[in-house]
Amino acid sequence: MADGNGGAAATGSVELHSVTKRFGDVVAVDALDLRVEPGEFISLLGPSGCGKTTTLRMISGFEHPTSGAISISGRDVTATPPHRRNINTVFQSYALFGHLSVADNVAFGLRVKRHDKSRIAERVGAVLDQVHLPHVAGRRPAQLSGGQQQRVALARAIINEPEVLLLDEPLSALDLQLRQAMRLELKRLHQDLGITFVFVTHDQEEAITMSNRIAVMNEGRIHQLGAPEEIYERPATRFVAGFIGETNLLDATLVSADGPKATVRLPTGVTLEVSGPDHIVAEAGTVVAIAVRPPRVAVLGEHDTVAADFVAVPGVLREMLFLGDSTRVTVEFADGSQQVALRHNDEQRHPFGELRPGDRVHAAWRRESAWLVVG
Amino acid sequence: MADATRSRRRRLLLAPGLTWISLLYVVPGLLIVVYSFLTPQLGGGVTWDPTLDAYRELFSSNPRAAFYNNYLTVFIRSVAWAAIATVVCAVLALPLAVFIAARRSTVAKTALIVAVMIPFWTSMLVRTYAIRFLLANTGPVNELLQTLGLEPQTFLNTRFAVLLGLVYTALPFMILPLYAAVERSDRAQLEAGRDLGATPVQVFVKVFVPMVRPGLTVGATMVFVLSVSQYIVPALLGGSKTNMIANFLDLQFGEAFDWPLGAAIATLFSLVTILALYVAFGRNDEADLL
Repeated sequence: MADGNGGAAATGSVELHSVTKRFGDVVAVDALDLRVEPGEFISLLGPSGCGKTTTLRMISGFEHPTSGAISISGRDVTATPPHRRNINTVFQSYALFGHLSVADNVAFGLRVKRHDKSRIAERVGAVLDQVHLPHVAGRRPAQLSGGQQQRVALARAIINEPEVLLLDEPLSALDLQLRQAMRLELKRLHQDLGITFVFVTHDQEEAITMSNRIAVMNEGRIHQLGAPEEIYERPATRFVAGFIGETNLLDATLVSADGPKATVRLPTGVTLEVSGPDHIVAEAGTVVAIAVRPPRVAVLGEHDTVAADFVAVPGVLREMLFLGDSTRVTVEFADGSQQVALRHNDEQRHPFGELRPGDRVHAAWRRESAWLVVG
Repeated sequence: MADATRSRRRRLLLAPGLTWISLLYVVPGLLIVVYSFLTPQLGGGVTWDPTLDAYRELFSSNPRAAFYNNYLTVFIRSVAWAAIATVVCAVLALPLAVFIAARRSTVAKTALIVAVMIPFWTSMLVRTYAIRFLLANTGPVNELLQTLGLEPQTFLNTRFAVLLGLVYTALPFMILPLYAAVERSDRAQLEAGRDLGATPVQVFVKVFVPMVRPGLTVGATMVFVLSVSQYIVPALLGGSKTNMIANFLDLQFGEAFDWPLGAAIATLFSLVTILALYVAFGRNDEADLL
């Protein structure tokens, strides 16, 4: 505590300073910088092999950075072994001790730290209550359902009152319904405990519904760090745009950029205005992409009028797919690229009017709905 | 009806095995118990006069055979040496099992496992003679000691030689089940232990050992049972002062022609072994692994 430069105010913060991890020739994590604020729920989101789990294992101390430094609550822990870091992990496989009862599993952390026996019993009871499992204290982990094991793993971690709780894809082994219920429960637990959660997942929906901030990772680097809405609405790179939800990514050439507005030209020759990040750092002529979410794309007949604040790109309607709640339409542009539009099937029975596959159409969207992706 | 017939047919499959075990193990075993209560016949065999003489002799403080101050000494010695061999085997085998299980390539694993089993391809008698040759007063080990400028030692006919032989013979029986247990173990649990604040030593004692305990129990049982009934090792490496139970039995049946005395110690010994097995497996489900 004494040597901490952040002091007590930083309790629960995690900082990674240009952390690199190599396994042989493979760079798993590449000069990663990240500051996790005390008490926040942050997700490391990315496909398998993106370095998110390696990053988590370096925070917990099971992997050592090849270079760089890690500090927790303002203290440098780069060389601290896992058992002396005041953080706990909920493992993907739960890793419950099969030879111990649920109560003994939960008590493990306090026992190895030689806490008072009566206090341990009291805390075990309290924590099992907190995860709604007081009635299984005497059972072995193998006698529990997956969801119950998950809660025991949580209880076993939080009983130690860690400064940071690390969660390594904790919901991936549960079925959909249970997974959705556990999301809410984890969020509630995060609010109750007020400690920092670092959550690793490949499931974008999980990350979006639970986190304060998301770090989208690919190939060992953070592509974007921001609030869920920001990541969804204003993706920084093609990878982020493609990984978070469904999106239409159109290749384009930058014509001019002026603050958060830019003009681009599509390969088909259409020139259009898009919004972009506050400071677009790219020169005219740069190959960029524009991202438009399918629900924001309207499909109009060839001769329909296009509203003034819309831009329209001509194409051919290729496919209409009725999905129940919504209808999904694929439009092919002159350059051969296929883009998707999605409409809710509300009071209109045919959200796309009388259009049929093969018709010449316009795909249109509001100018500010298209987002410039430079990276 | 059909189910009952099928289960009866299935039970029929057990018949050959059960017949074999009954004829070759159960019946002779019971005969030994019966013989222990009969009177020895001069030159071998028994006469059908029931008596407790054999057991009296066994627990007597003034035994007939001059070179045993007490028959139970042999008994206790066997058990003690088998116990020491078991502990030594466990200590040697655990790092090896972990090392083999930690290999990434299946080829390396298989090669190491085969290396552990290679000694089985040679007769134990031959291997024990080889150890005898190695440990002889003018054998390679002593030659090496002399080359290094050390005093030659007497190895043969010492307790050390017997213990060495016991450990050498039984070690693979500890390595294999332990390796299987380590291979099956959940490495994430070791990390969970560290994560929860346990030191590496605490993780070893509180997580790793309980996790591989089934393998340890099976290995310990095999090593103990094999060692306690060793005949060749004490006979070839130990000399007459380091007799174990099997050598004693051989003496009673083959030379002293006191069959009831031999049968009595065999009976007592079987009882102790059964009791030990019950302690090891009777109360839990680890017997499944056998």
